Amino acid sequence: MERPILKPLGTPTENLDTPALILDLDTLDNNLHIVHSSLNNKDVKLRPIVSIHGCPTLAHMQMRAGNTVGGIQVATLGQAEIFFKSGITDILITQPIVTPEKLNRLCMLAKTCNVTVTIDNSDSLKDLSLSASINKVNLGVLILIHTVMNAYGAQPGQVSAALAYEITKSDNLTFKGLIAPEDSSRYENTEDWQREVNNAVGSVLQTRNLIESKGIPIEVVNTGSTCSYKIVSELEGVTEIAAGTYCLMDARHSQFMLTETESNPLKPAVKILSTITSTPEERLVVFDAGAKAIGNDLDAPLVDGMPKVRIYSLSAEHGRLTWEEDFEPGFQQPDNLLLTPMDIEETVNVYDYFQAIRNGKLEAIFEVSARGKYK
Amino acid sequence: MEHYRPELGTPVGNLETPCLLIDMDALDHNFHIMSDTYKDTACKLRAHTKNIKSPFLAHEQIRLGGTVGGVCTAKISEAEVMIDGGIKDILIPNQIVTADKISRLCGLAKRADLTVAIDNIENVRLISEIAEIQEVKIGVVVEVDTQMQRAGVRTTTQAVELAKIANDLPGITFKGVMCHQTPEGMPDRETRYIQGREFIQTALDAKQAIEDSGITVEIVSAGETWTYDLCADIPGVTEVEGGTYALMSHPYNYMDEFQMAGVILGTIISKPDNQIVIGDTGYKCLGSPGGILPKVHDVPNVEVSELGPDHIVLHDMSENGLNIGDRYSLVPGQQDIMVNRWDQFIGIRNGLVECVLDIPGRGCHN
Repeated sequence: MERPILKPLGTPTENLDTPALILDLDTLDNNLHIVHSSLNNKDVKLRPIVSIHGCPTLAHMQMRAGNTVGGIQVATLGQAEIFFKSGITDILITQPIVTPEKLNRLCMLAKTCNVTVTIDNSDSLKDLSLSASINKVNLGVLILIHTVMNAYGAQPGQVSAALAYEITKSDNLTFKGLIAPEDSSRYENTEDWQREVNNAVGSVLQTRNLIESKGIPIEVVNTGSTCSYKIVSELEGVTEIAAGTYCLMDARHSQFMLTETESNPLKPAVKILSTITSTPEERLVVFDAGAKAIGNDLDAPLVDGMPKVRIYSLSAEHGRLTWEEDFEPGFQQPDNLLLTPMDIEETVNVYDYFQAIRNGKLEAIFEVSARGKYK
Repeated sequence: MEHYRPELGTPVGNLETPCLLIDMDALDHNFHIMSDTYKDTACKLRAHTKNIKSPFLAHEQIRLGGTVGGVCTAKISEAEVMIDGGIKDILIPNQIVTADKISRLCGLAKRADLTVAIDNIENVRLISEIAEIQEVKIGVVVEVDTQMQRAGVRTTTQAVELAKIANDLPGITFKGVMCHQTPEGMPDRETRYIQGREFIQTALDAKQAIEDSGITVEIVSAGETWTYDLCADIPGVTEVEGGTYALMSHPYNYMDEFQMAGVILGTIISKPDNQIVIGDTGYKCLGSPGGILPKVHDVPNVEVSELGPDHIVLHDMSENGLNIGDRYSLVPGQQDIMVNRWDQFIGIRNGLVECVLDIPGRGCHN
């Protein structure tokens, strides 16, 4: 468990114990407004992916921001259990559930929660149907479609159509539609990605038409992401946009926004507050947030407001900064630094608390209740 | 909080995944190498608990012998976890610089012996002030940079100057010097010995100079897993900070006397192609610092090709092929970063659950 010195509410940000996961509430509110209000007067709605932040408080803020389907999306069953306990009763779990132990837990959850799961093959479908029948519950099912946007799923077209037919014939399962998750860790280049997304969603929509032409109705087509929500929300036939990062943002997703031309872009709402612990050389400082406290699985964070300063090393417990020759930052121990995470999902996953601030003061502490719920 | 707690005796094949396993035989083997190495030497182990984050495992290593009777922790909150777990002697080979944290340090010094590393005059003065107010003594060691260009004084002159100041300050007990170093690539034994001795000599030079100025040096904390064996033979080195040795990770393969004891168990959840299978272990549970991928531990001819947040893509060239529902295990690229993402270890011996150990040091970044 994270063990910071938790300061009284009202404490100025710069006096918080470090490293700390700092959430700016005004920026969060603005990000929520931008994305949720963009779907005003549209049939397509948002299903917030809350595995990004693992925080029920944030999930409920997303639900209140309007234009949602009334439910959330998570990656794992363990996350679904946590969000259900916080009062959310419509949950889509994207990771296929295949083992007897987890099928049992899933059916128990489904007794009181409206749960939708994904399937990409016939054998897993049979196990799922059997479990649901034994436990006398009904489960909604989406076919997980394989596209260039993700690593797995059933092939679009005839393979998925045959699977859809099989689901309609399976006991205790309700065929709901299709899901094609957009895995942002695959991003490389914005233009290529925009083309890939258009092609991928196109193949999902063709599959939709194929299945409907066989007389099987489709209620849900779930796809999209923070980076593509605008273009995907214009595609007829998509019913839900699945996006999560948009509320907190990070450095990496900011680079890949596919339609980032407006004057009010999504901004990173979460920073790591860190302290300089050593200034051993002229152009070198060491700070107290290393790979454990930030995560650099995808890349190192950026130093907030200092484009000429760069993190050149993150070891487990320490980070090291250097800067361009024409810059004189005057860093001293124990100055503070604000760092923008490269990947928000990875960073939040090592914290137990968001320290929520407004106008530079601690306003609330939100728990990352679903942190570490990998099962 | 983790809600999953398998019954003792559960077969490993019945565990829910992903989970973090310790191969208890491998852990015992690794622990015994350390206790045997330092059994009769002047130099002792001070195990670094940033790797295992469990007071129980720290006590196990101390009980086996060959240690100073205490541990290292990376952070002050991690020290608190160890003190709450009954450890009485802690070295934090890191700088504690804010007044808040120094107050916490001094508060904890009422329950255990605490020593911290310093590399800055203002910092040790602040520690002295707060220690005096709180009526405790804080041990300090001067951190000497030997190669890493991280924290630490850069010259012997700086080391002597800082030692003199620390030695004269109230509330401070000057203890000695510490250093930490890392090898390039995967060195063989001879290269390790040459590199390790060269780096550590810098700290020994600082020790000599401090002693020449009339100050007693009690501690030279100077090694880690990759130098554990050579440190035992270097006169003057009093303790070694090994931590990686306990669970290991694949970039440390060159230290082949230690066994891979910490692995992640996963389940195949999808098979989109004959040679592509998807498992339920993503980077959130594994960590892949700097993009370094884990390695498949127990199934030959299966390679990791891609990591998503909650899934892994495996290239399966194994004889029988992995199928949905099959298990596999992974060795991480860096074990302490992986452990920091988990709330419990499941200890396995002979294929059955022997113990479920909490990881109270998880998330102790402060």
